[in-house]
Amino acid sequence: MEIFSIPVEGKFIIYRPLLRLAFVGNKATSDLMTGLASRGSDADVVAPEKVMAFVQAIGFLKPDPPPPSPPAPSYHPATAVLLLTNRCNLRCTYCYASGGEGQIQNLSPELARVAIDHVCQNAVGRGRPHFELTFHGGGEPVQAWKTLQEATDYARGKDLPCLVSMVSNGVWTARQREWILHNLNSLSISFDGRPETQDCQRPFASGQGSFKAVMHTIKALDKAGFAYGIRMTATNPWRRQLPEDVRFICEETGCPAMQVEPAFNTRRGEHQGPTREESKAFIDAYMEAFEIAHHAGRRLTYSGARPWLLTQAFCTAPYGALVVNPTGNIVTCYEIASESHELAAISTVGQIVGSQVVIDDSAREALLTRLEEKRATCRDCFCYWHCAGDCYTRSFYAQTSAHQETNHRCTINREITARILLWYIMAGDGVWRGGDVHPQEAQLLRTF
Amino acid sequence: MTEEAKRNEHEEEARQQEGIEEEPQVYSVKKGLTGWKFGRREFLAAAASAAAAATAVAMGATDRSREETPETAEVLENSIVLAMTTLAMAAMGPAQSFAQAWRFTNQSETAWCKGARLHLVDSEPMQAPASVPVPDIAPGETVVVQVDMVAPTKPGTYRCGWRLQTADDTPPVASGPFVVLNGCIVESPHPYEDDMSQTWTVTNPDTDAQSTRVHFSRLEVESNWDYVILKDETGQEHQRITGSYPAGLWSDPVPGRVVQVQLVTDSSVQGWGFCLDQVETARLMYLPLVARHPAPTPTATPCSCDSYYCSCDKVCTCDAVHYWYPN
Repeated sequence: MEIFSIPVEGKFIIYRPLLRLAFVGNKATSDLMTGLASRGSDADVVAPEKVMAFVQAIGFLKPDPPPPSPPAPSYHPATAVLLLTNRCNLRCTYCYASGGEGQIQNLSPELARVAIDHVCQNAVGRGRPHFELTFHGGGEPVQAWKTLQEATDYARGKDLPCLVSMVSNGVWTARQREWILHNLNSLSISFDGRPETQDCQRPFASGQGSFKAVMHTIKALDKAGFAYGIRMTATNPWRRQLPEDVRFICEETGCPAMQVEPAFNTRRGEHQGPTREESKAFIDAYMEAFEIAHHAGRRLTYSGARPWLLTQAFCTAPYGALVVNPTGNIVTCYEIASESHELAAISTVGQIVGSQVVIDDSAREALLTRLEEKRATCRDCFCYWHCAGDCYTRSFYAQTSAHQETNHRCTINREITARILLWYIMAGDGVWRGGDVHPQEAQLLRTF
Repeated sequence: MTEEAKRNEHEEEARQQEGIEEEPQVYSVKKGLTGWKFGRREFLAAAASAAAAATAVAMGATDRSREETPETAEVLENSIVLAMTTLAMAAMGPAQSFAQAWRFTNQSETAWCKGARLHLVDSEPMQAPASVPVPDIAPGETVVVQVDMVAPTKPGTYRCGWRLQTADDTPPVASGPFVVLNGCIVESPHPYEDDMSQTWTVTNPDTDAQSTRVHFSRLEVESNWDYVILKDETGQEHQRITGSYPAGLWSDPVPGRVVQVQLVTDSSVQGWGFCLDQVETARLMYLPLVARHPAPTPTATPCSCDSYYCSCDKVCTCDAVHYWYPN
């Protein structure tokens, strides 16, 4: 039986992650439960009768269910993620890809068709009811408008239905908006909240703020009842900004779900880890924003803290998606938009050559081995089944095969996970019995 | 470290110094204004609560996709059942003194035990007593419990949570846990009659409300033959509900403060009807969902704007970004 005792403000969250069971006790309770878990039964345990009645009532002694299956070793993706271009009309202050700068690279329609053929064929071979096509960033997909339209039309022309989605900055013309509303299934809009935040963090290349344009798009999506989520990026000062930006989104939009990620880099084109102070500030800000969203009936998530999710893969990109960047390389992360990325060498696992998708099996196996090694170092962490080693681009070193075993992002993930568990325990009137996975959360089991 | 954590540490140190072995303890968890609060619980009470909450949904109580979750707890055998109606609150000024009242009706055959109190368990920044006494309630009797509070100074919409507890925080003498059912603000006959067309009117006490939504704790009418129709003050229809929602549902927003609830039934098959138990200000104006935005027609007049400050509402076919909002 896997059990953890998570210290929190002088008490302990006694947690069985695979059983999705959690409650709060003192040290004596923690010691007792740990002892029971190590024995696997209440035989020979000296404890008050009422304690044992509690243990029985909550099903604490149930054996762990089978853990989630590891990702399948074979690679037959039924999802195509096309990084259409590195062009962008915005100059977001934290952009990991320096979108819009440098030599322009566009994915050709021909390469897009090859990728679509490949995933459609895989889906048919696996008996799937549909395949998926996603347009992603590293630039703004809408800036490659013709390719976007052609690829969508080509995918829709297949016999097997296709779910088409896009991650976009939401700055569209009226004609683009009409087309998107009629031709796509869902959207993720990158939007950071209040005018002062959005205009400051996500300006146009001219320096003009983008709030008005993006808010216009969001209003249109709300009016049409279109399925979309909002992807927020939070920067320092988190405590002052993030809760109010989330409140703004809850009050001014109909968006049901927001995902927020912190950006600690101070320059475009890079990632930077947080300091201890920054970690704490983001944790506090996130939990305040979480509460605001909860009271507004919305969902706010952060990728590193997902106690509702049991998985052996942080992200499905390396396992279940064919991610194609503008140069036609097959990569294992949506952020590897070009060869200039410091992790491009270990993240490139194939290439589209002519009309074929050619996978470098040894390169892919090397990366997956590193992911497993990273995950193994997290085995003793209570977030192991939720975080599954975290995003590798945040911890892998480019020049060596090493990685950071723990870092301040781990601190953030663990602390936020623990506090979300407290929310669950509170909502469960003292005991969280996690069979109540929210339908939207269940959807996250399939995606990142 | 929070004050509570410091207190816990001091207590632990004191126990260790005195050589007192700590007994196992479990805690309830509450989120207060200053942080997490942990309250000691009896193991048996915690176990019973866990069993009752086993089917409850953890989060997002206002999310409509969770309508399958019952908002009223299961009535257990031998339990004392109190029907509670939250008497309507009016909007008020900053720091205004006001009284919130609840009406309790004992619907069982057992007297409500002595010494019960309403305890404040969660409050946003408003002044309220920590607890107020609840009088004895004989079977069939109704009492009103009133709490005097002071509104916050900052304008907004606030909530506070109250818990009904017995004197010693244990189940009442009659053996079952107590269950409180929400009352109805307006409700239909149960079951309703054939050939009905009756309207009830509810008014949102928030005088600044631009739109209002209502909650039905239960709504069951004959599907596609009988309807609950929601209209605004002018009589314009905004939503038509039919079918069975035993766990309740929230309505779509209705413009303004007044919601007219009309029950229209045909000449056969009577359902349970409805119970409307909450009225609140809807924060957003949701227009009825449409599957797709209407497609531009080939004959749509193209916009002749100069591309940046267009104020027309026609379907624009130019390629620039328009910084305008539709009507």
